[in-house]
Amino acid sequence: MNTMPKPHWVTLLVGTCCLIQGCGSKPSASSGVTSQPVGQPRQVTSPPQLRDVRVRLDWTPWAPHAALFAAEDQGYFRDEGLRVKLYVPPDPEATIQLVAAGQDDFGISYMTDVIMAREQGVKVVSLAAIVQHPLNCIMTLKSSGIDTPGKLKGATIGTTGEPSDQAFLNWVLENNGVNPHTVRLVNIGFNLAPALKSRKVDAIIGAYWPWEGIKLQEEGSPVNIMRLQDSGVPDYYELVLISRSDLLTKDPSLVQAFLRALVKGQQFVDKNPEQAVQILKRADPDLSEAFLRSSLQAILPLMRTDSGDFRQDSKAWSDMVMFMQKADLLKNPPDVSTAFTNHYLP
Amino acid sequence: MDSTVPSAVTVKHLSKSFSDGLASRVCVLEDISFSIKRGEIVGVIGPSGCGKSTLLRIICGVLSSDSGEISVLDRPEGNRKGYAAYVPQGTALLDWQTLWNNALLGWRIARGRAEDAKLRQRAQALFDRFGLTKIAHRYPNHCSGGERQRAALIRALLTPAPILVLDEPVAAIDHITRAQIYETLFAIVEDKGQAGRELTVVIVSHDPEELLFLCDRILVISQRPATIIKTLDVPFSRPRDSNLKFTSAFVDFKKTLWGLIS
Amino acid sequence: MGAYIVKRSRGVQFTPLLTTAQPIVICALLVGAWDGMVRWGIWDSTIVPSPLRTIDAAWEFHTTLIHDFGITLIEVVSGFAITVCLSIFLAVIIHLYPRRTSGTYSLLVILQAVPLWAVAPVLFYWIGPGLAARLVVIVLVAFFPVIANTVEGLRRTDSELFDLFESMNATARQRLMILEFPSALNMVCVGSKITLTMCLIGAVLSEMLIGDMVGLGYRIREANAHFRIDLVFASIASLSLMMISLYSLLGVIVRKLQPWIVAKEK
Repeated sequence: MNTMPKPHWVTLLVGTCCLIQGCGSKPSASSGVTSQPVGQPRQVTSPPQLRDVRVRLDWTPWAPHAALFAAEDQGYFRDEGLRVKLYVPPDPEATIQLVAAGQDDFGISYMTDVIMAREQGVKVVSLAAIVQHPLNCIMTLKSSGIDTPGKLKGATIGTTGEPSDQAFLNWVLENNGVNPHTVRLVNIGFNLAPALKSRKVDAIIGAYWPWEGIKLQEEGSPVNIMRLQDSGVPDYYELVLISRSDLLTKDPSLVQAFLRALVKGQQFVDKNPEQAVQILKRADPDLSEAFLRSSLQAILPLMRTDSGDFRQDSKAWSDMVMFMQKADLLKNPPDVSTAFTNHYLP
Repeated sequence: MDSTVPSAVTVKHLSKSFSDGLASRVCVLEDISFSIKRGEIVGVIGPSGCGKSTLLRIICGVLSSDSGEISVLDRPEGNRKGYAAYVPQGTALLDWQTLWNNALLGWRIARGRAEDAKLRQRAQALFDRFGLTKIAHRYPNHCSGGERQRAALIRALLTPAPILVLDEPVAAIDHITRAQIYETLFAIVEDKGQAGRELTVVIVSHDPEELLFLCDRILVISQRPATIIKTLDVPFSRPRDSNLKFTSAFVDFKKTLWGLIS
Repeated sequence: MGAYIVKRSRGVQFTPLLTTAQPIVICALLVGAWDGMVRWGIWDSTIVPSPLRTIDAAWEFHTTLIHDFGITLIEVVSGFAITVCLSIFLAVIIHLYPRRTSGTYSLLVILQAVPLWAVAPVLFYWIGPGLAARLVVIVLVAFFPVIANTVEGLRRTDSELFDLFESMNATARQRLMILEFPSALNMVCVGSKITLTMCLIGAVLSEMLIGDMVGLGYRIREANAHFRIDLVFASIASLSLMMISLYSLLGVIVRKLQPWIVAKEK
């Protein structure tokens, strides 16, 4: 590892091609999902006029999207009169703006982004908490010996550039007695796992433990996972389903229909996890079945709530707003009650 | 031809043709033979496009011949480059250097180093003689055609080469300045001859009177494919006075030459 | 070429005052139109800020923006210098040894077509965080115009001058230094103007993709993530300012390098 060959242009070219193939971490814009119905054949009565719905995912199809893909695959959306297009964005950071502008009807986004958007007057609302607990964490290679955040003094830490990641990191560091100024932050985009593996950074933040954690384990580089909640970050919803406010006022029945089908999809996944793996595999052939299985197993418990699938708690939202204020991410905290609603859930 | 005087340029049965861009070849020079003695001033005259420039370029070593022999200064066939100071028709000055630096270019390239004070004195003298002192530090693009030609000539005169090959060197220069130039040329040829380092001059021109005034011999070239129609000996002794032009002998020669080139 | 003569357009003469006033008036009209579009709701104000909000944001963040401006400026200027020197060097080698380098030239053409987002992470893995990786990105993005123009310029020497040097039995080195390179200088300068633009693009993109979380490119991305589009626009405006200044400076340098051309246009 210490004797890297000098990058000859041939090596660069070949290496680039191999890495593009091998990484697979850059989401590619696939043109929607067409999957064969799995399981028992259904009676299809000719449906009324189908309404087109665009849903912008946050990443390539994987475990947290199981309910969505199952609902599409099993025809639950069709039963509700919806023709749903689930697609992977080339630019995950633009989701809120595009949903607010009406380009997409629904999107998968993050709690912190919703709060920041509402502070700036962008009219999006969170309708459902898809993943009820954080997936984000600080990750290091087991071989580095850094197994608690307290050992991160003077480290180089890679991040995607998301401002909330920086805030989480600083909070965790301070809570563990490490001055954030002693740490060097580097922006490496979404290629977190390769950066960690190549040891160009000592730790990463912004990686999800069921994604990068499992992948690195599979590739023979076991990792330490330092959860954010263990260091004073409030327990928050990692992924939420959003839409624009005026869709809620103009077409509430569409929203309700969508969420009904979604909840049904989640119930299907709960009962048939193995079929869910197959559905996801069809949606994203690049991922291995083993990976999908492990990640789904890890995530399923995080998608259930006591109060009913995907319901949101106002305490979680206000805790997050308070945290963001203390972490200097907000100047004028928005009214939390307008940022989310459970009204449209079945 | 006096065979005791060594030859500067000897050409035997020289031919040269070019492809015309399509399948065929155009014969430019056909079976040319002549010899130039060291210290001679030889003129070449002929209709436009007949190949005079091609002949000069072959002598300078820029082009190779297709057939026939050519030797320069009795050296064996081979590299003819570096023995001639060449002034092409377009003067070939470097746009990005001043007239002064352009004039010193020939010397600098030949010797591969910067010039000494002696050469600078010579250069200065020539600049003064040719009336270029005030504009020595201008760029060629900002000078007239005549000024550029004078600078190119100075470059040739300063180049340490035994042969001077001039392609219409004074075409844009007025007659009074031309007279000064001819005078200087004669003086230099004379000086070098006395010092034992003969300077041979080959000069192409459209002006018969000019060649008659300057040269010892004139080669008259035909239309393409070019051959030598006639070699005219010009017996006037050097140095030549400008009054020579009004003598009857001179006028007779002019008539002969006119007859040959028409 | 020729001198720029006063234009006559249907009897109207463009005085010097009118000529310099043109871009200012056009800018003012465009900014006015921009303000109007936002004010009257044609452009959504959560996607496009009004000019006034942009200026407010610029003032609010002026310390950060100045710091970012400095970082990006260093990247662009040093990237440009490295790119130009390296490209000229390679072009001279390609010119001197055409047969041995014919494959290399074709592969350089392929290299400059490799997409940036794929190259940047790879470079990060090899070089690590810091300015070096970003400079490599900039060079890879921007090298081609200068190389292509230099190679072509060196090839295109005036044939009469070439003959002159042949007749003088000049060495290849003399020919290169005294004839070919100065003769190619004009084309090199043209190439370098394009390269400057590409250096700016490369700097901004490398800051967005890899880097130490500073610089105007990063600032745009961060502001966007915070939904502060007024800061996004303020950063873009700063970049434009940088581009205009650098481009003008390059123009001045180019003119000073070729005094013979200036002399001619007088």
